[in-house]
Amino acid sequence: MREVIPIKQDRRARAIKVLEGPLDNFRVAVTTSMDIGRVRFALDGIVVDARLREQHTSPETLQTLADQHTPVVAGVFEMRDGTHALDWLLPQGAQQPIAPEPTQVRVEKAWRSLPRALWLAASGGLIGAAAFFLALQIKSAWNLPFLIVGALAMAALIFSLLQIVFSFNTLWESFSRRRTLQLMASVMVKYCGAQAHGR
Amino acid sequence: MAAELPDIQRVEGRLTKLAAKSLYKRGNAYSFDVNGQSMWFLTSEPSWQPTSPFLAEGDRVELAVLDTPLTPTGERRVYALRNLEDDGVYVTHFAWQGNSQPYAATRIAPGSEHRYVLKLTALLIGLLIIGACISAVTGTNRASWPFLAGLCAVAWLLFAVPLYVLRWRWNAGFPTRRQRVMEAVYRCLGLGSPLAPNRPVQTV
Repeated sequence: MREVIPIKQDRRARAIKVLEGPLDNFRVAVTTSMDIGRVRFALDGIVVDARLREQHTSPETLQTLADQHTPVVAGVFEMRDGTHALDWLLPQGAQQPIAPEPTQVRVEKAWRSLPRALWLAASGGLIGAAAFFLALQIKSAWNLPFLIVGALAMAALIFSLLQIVFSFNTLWESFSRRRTLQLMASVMVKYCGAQAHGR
Repeated sequence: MAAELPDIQRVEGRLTKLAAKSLYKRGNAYSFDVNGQSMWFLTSEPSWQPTSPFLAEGDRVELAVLDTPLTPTGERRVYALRNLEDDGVYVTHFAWQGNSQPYAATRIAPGSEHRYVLKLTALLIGLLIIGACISAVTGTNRASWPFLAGLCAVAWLLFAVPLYVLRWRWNAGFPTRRQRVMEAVYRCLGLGSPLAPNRPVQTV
């Protein structure tokens, strides 16, 4: 273990740890298609969980590292429940770490998706409300085309609402945990060098 | 005392031919072979939550298995699984929802009654507040309020009292059949008592 940084005032993480060594006991969980890329390995005697969808890699990449016993340096969060979650991982000799998207990029994506989602929600809601109102008020509006239009509008509304909720969730996560995320980013820059894409 | 408990067998081996299948609203089904015997491990929680069991091909496991074939093809059903690779223990509760078979275990995790009662309380209070807002806006009659509040109270009591009676029975040493099945499962894997397990247990 290279370094342990305790964190206060974070809902999830208790500490940041920097571990080094080869990946031992590498296992890929069998999952349904909902969350592929769950892996678990022992690094420096600590069992680390990783969800590789966040890091945009496949389990095969880490499997080759584990097979070749390549030493790695990894930054993990120690969670409040005692488990360890991988954030970034730098194989020896590699230039770029295997890391999730920078917080800045995720926040920008969320902001960019918001106007379109809001517009879609508003138009879907208006069309759906109009179709419902017409069906209630006018007998002849109670027919199949109107029903289809109303159902499509409702589906668009629900999807855009989901997108809005996820965007706000991202924004709130990166705002409320900004100190932890910035600290982890600075730790990553310290170990991976400044050429690692800045966070 | 009562009828015999189901035949719970302890099996040790490696997971082979492991596969996960989503049953959608009813959770996930993990099928695998241990020592040439095919088995089903049914869990009932959303698959995107990190609490879903971590099982990989070739893991060494200890299982508490119902030793009665339930399907014509002879698959066994798993009560509890202990993964020796990372020492995670998973006990199935929620997959027994709604079946009153003689081999079923408790439907909720031991000691988790407060969680459900609190959720129901929040739901009922929320419904009453929404109703109050609607009646304040539309200005309808206030005469039905005692009736609605009484209905909510009765629903709460109907839900909470049986849960707490079952909890009290188990704590006082008069377990029901399902609770005795649970005790047998915990004993089978050496986890201590369900009310005070000697290692962290994940309910799935």
